[in-house]
Amino acid sequence: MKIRFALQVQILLSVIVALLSGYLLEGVAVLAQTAVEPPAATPQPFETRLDMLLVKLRFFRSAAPEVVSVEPLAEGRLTVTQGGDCTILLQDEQGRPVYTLAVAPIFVRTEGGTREMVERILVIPNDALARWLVVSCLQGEVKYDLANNR
Amino acid sequence: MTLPITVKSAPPAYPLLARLAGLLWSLPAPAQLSGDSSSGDVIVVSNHAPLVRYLLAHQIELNVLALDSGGLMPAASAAFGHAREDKVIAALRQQALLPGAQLLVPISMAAAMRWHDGQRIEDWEVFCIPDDPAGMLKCIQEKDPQALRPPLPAVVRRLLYGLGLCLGQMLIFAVPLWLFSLPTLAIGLAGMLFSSLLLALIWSVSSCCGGAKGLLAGLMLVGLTALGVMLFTEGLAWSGLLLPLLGLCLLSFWMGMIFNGAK
Repeated sequence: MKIRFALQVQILLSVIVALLSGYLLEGVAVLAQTAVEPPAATPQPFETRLDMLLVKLRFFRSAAPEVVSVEPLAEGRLTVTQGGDCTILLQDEQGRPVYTLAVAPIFVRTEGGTREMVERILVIPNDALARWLVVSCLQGEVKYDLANNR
Repeated sequence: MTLPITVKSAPPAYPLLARLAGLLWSLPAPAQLSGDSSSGDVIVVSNHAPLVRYLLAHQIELNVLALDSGGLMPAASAAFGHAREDKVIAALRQQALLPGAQLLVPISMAAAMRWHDGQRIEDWEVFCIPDDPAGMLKCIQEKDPQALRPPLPAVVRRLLYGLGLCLGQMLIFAVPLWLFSLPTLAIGLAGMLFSSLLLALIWSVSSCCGGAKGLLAGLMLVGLTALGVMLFTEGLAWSGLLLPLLGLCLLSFWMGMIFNGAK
């Protein structure tokens, strides 16, 4: 009787340990499912990088912005901004954001009145996944197909 | 040398089920002297319950001293270091054996204690018998020592019996692990296998208890896994690996306890 009891205790303890280790090991299965490809390196400012885009934009005080030109740059440094109401967005084919930059176009008041238009030249990464350049402000939005430049 | 012992009935084969169960699990019997023989001779075995029952069931004219060795079979118990001379002599002294009594000791246990045929231990004479239960009885029945095969090296026996015990635990662990997911089952069983192999290899390195050896093997396994993760993966969150690595340690600790036997 004692022997059977000992075996029963062994089995009971084994099942408890199995459940506990299963709970702990389950994380591996979750990791395996969510293991993502290494995230693309986030572009860092203040360092010269290869393959960039030189984007010339016009912001209007009372109209949607305009993309004047988009030119590839062999190398360059990312434009650093202090943030703002307008968003420069690179999107992939499905519209997922690839790169975002916020800018604040400043319409200066002069003796002749407030300027209606501001031109900005920005350097952004030429991400291989990017398909659309979307410039979005309070005044409106413009979507530019980057396939035109490739 | 001849044995002054007779058997009252021809020994049947050792039951296959008992043999199989003995390979997969530790089945402890009370560590005590059993039998009603007046000859004073003693067969010294591990406290593996099916073996003790088998020996007593065949009314051999000697008493059976079951040592506290975790309920493992004699060869396994010797391989895992449970057959220690000081403990065996202490157990023998407790039984107040007659001077000149013969001690029949399975060959692997005798080898582990560096005892040999005809050696005198205190007032008793050692007589080596096979590890196999049927072989033990046959040896006693024929009253003639058989040509004993020397036991396999301890590390080989640890690997063999360790894999058997690991398989026994896998049978119990399979369903609870499968409840979580198939990858959990696969990783759990692989962890048990590798920790068992590692434990079998490092068992004699340290003299600490089975659980501590298990933890040591677990830490080694965790180190190897972490190294593999570093070398072969990229972008894996280490924070997510902490719990699984702890799980590996737990499995290894448990296998260390199992290798130590049911005590």
